[in-house]
This record gives sequence, structure tokens and C-alpha cells, in this order.
Amino acid sequence: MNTASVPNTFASSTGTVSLSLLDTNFTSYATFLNSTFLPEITATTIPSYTASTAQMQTATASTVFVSSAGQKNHPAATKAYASFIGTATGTVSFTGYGVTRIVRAGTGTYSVVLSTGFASTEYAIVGLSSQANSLLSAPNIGRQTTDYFEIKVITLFTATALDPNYVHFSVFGI
Amino acid sequence: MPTASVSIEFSDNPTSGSTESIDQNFSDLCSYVNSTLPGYLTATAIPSFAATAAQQSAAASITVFATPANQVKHSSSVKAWARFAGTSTGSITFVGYGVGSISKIATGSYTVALSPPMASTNYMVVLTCGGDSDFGRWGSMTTAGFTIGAFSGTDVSQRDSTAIQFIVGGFQ
Repeated sequence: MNTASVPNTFASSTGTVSLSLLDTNFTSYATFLNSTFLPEITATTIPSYTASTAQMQTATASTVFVSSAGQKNHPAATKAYASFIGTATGTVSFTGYGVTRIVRAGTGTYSVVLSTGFASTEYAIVGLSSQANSLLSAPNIGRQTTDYFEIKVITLFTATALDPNYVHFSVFGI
Repeated sequence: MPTASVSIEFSDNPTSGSTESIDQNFSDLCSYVNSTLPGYLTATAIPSFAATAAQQSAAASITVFATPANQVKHSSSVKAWARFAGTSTGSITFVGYGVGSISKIATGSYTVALSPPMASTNYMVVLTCGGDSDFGRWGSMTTAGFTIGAFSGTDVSQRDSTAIQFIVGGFQ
């Protein structure tokens, strides 16, 4: 709770008090109150106190809030992810976030278009593929631009392209 | 700003009231203001309402806020990620977050130092390699970091992958 204390400007041991002196003291008191009590943060003023994109990316500020819209700008937040069936053809249906389109370009090769491009090609993609049979497969990142990258899935030991049952990936960057 | 409407009745004639009477009335006014205005959120009070690291990690409180500084402490947040060229030597330049350093030990073998370290060795590492057919796996894990191995998909021999990328999840 904010608290107010009486400013010690009224001490006088003798004399009478005039109305004009009362007015002056009330004005001083109002000034004191105004300087003591900071503006209250309300629902309408919250945007003024939420972290900017730059503050989210720097990730050090502790005097502003994280908004729902700005949370994704934190460097530790995933910028995109998706899960899709590797045996699908053409434009592939997927569940995910931050991804506009996934297209199977060939056996085991998938092109991913991101909804929002990165500032540079220096971002990280991690992925996993799964198989119903006993083949070991591994996803591999091919060409990578600011808003597009390729996933290539291969069979281990032979390095041949393979359509896995599922491909999952997640993308991190700034 | 909240405003208070205050009326004061002087027991004495205000034109001849004593200063002691005025002091008492102002003291009463302050008590009135303090009891009337509830605690409210201001810019300087934001840190008091920010979630602690423990609250972010527990991810259950609905009475505190996330800030840019503490968001990473949330259980759902990755604690580190990086992308680097495995063909580099020595101390490797990388892009990432939550990583102190990456060094090459030998062909296709690397050490990653986390900054800050993890709370225990029970954490998650997922990694993927670039290149035509490379794949990777993690090796030994300590709270301070872990090792990475990069391999050729053709003969599973260790090799320097052109781009190694990983994420780390867990508690710090």
C-alpha cells in the first residue's frame, strides 16, 4: 500500500492561522500527495508497461511485463514447430505454430516456409523422425534461408532418402 | 491516479485555530487517505509483482507476472539453444542462447558449456546436424554442460558436420 505522512511544514508554536495560510498549506499538501502517489497501472495503461520487442530479445529487464503478444520474442521461446506425416505428398497437412506451409519435395525431402522470417540465417532447427519398421532414420537440415529451410530424412548406414512415418521439428532464433 | 475527496471540519474557528489543531487535522487526513486508497500497482512496484524463479519454475501462480528476465525460468521454456559449424576448430563461434562456450575436442566431437548450469543432470538435449546425411547424438552430461558427437549417415563414422543445432530443456 502507498502511504502518506504529514510533511512537517505546519509546525508553529504560536500565532493564529488565517484562511490564506490554510489555502497555502492545502495546496502544498496536494502537491505532496501528487508527487508521492505514482500513476496507477490500469487495464488501459498496461501496454505502456509491457516489454518491447528489443527488451524481450535482450531478456534482462525486470521492470516491465511480458505480454501474450510479446512472449514469443524471448530468445528461449520457440519461434516455430510442427508435426507432420512424412509419407504425405504435395502440400502436407501439419499441426504447429509459426509455420505457413510444408511441401514434400521428394522422397524424404520437405520444404518448410516460416510465417515470420528471421533477421538472418543464423537460427537453429532441431528435428526427429520416427519409423514403424526397424529402420533407423535421422532428419537432416538442408538449404536454409531466413524464412525457409529443408528437412531431409535418411536411413542410417545407407544414407538413402526415406519417407518416415512422422517428422517433428522446432525452430529457435532471434 | 486515484483521487480522494476529503472534507475536514475544524473544531475551532479556522480563522483563529491553533497550529496544533491543524496538525491534528492533517494527521487525520493522512490516516484517512491511507485507509481509503488501496494498494495499487505502479511502475516502481512492478518488480514486487514479478514472479520469482521458483514461481516461474512451478508454473502455477496466477498472482504474479512474467518479465523478460524471468520468462526463461518457466518449465516450458528451453534453457539453451545454439547453432554452430562443426568444421571449426578450437573455441567455436556460435549463435544461441544460454550457452557459455562450445569447443571442438576432435573430429566430430564437441563440448558445450551451459551458462547458467542446470540444476541436475536430469535434463533434455535434442540435436540435429546439417550436411547431406549427418546425424548427431549427445554424450556425457553434467550440470555444467554436455558433449556432442556428429556422425556420417553413410558409415556412422565421426565427422565434422557443417551445421550442428541443439536445444536444452530442464530446470536451472
